[in-house]
Amino acid sequence: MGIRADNIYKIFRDFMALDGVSLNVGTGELVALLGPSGSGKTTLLRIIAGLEFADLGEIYIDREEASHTPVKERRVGFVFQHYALFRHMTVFENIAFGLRVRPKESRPSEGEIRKKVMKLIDLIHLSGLHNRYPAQLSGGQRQRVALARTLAVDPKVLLLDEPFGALDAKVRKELRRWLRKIHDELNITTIFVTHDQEEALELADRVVVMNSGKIEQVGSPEDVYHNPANAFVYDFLGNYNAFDGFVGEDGECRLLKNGEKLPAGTERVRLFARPHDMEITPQPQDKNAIPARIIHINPAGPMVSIELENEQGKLLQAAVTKERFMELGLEKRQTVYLKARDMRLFN
Amino acid sequence: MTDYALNIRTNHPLAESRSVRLTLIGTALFYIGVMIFLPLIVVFIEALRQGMGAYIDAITEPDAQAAIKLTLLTASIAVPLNLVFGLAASWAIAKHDFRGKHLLITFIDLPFSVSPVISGLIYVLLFGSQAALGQWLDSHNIQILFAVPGIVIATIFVTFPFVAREMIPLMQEQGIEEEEAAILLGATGWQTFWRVTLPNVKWGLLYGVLLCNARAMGEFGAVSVVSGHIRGVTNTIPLHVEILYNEYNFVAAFAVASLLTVLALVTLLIKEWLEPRVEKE
Repeated sequence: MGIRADNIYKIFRDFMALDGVSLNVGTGELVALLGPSGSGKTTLLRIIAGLEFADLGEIYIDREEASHTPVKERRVGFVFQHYALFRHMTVFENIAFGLRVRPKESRPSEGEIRKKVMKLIDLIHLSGLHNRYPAQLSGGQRQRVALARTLAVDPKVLLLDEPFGALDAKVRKELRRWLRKIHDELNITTIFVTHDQEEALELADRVVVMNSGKIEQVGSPEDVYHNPANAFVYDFLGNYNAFDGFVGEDGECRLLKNGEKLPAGTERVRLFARPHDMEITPQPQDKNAIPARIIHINPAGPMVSIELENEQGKLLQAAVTKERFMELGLEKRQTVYLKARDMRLFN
Repeated sequence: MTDYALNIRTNHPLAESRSVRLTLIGTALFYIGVMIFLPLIVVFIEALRQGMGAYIDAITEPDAQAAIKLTLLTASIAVPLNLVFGLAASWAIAKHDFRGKHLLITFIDLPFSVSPVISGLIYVLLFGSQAALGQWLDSHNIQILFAVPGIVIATIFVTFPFVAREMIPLMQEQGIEEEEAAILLGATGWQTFWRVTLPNVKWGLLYGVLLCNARAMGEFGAVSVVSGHIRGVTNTIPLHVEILYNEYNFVAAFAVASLLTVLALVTLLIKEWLEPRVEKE
């Protein structure tokens, strides 16, 4: 069941939360809404769910205009960041809730409810814990119960609002993988909100990058990472170094070094480079290399991250492989020369 | 126990010297003893001064029985009404946004900030024979003032904020996500209220009802103004105590007063039992 948002506007008092957002999500897709806080991603999710109303624009769920469909009839599954489990109910009763509140005609029998709930408890690997209360579960377990509770009512679409935001890094990774698996098994159209670019890139089929109420870019994780549409997307998807530079006569990007004048007929531009695209050498390779002093080395992790300071005292970041690091024999306070292998220019 | 409290804190970095601690604790104990324990004990000593027989006579004579019945009747009307109102008001305030919300909160607090005597007087002015409403009621033979309805109305007014005041912060703290989740799972508003909102606040609600009840049974000022003090008809327990006392019938006055004291002690006990449960919510 697809979801379509058509030119959605939402204003909270004097704050423009959504500024003409349109989005198309295909059946069975797993889409991430990625952006910093205040970018409107949660508001968009809540409007799709029916928890907020758009000031302008329409939402289509399964090709039906849903703006006036009451929440309880939308058949939208929603998972909250802080789980929103019913605190006075056991795991079993939490998951059974959506079935128990159905009108008599469509309510399953007690036996059917039991069967379905137990199957879901198995699915979330919480067998034996059905009599626990939410307060007796860990964060990861709670979020799995919240997901099972949502799945119990066979939703047409699944919406998750920062579902792993309150969990620690290890549990987060585990749940991510698990959500991906469940999505692949049930093939249910899913949208999740996150401010964690790694999570979005790893989990989603498509990533929607949002910023101050607008969509900056929509694309596959590969696409948004390697071909960012603008400086914001580039910035949001990873660490970077920014340099002043210019476009030379040959069309090549050049860095402007300390004190260097802009050559006649060229314009000053901002150039961006990722830390892993920085090349470090003890001696200047060519006249384009910039001198910088190493101020911090972090060898923990797959790459060695190095923080440097250029002559103006600006922070620069570089990442090199362990082998390269050993080969260069880099040390703190050492002055080295930096060059960017790959630079980007945004207009 | 005092020793224990003194010793265990000695090594604490914020601990005061021994003499300061003794003075502080001593002052506090003395104060509580004189202001609270002594009067409490005096009530029972005075009530039993002429023995158990006189005590039982004082609380079983017809006027005392009438006062007890009227007090129970008043509380049994005022408390449920304020329970329903308090729950409705706190639900509206804590779970919804609307214009005039702050005004409503202020109005709920009004009975706390007005002297009870003034509260009683308001109803005398409203229902009295010089007011239009009073004249209309009079011509239809409806008696509010100096009768049970007036006492009930005055009690409702005075005990109005207890339930709402207890519920609003609790409900606000719990937020609305659970309700949102319930609606998203297909529950109706009614189902959401009965299955999610109400069970989440049940201990807090009971706590508010308990305080409301204690005040409803013990209210003096407002009820005194509207009651008319008709013995055996419009006297509640506190009013009956006052009449007995003014007649120098001290044993009977303290005997009846001891009933309210027992109510207070029972209320305290239940409160102690409830508090950790409310905290958990």
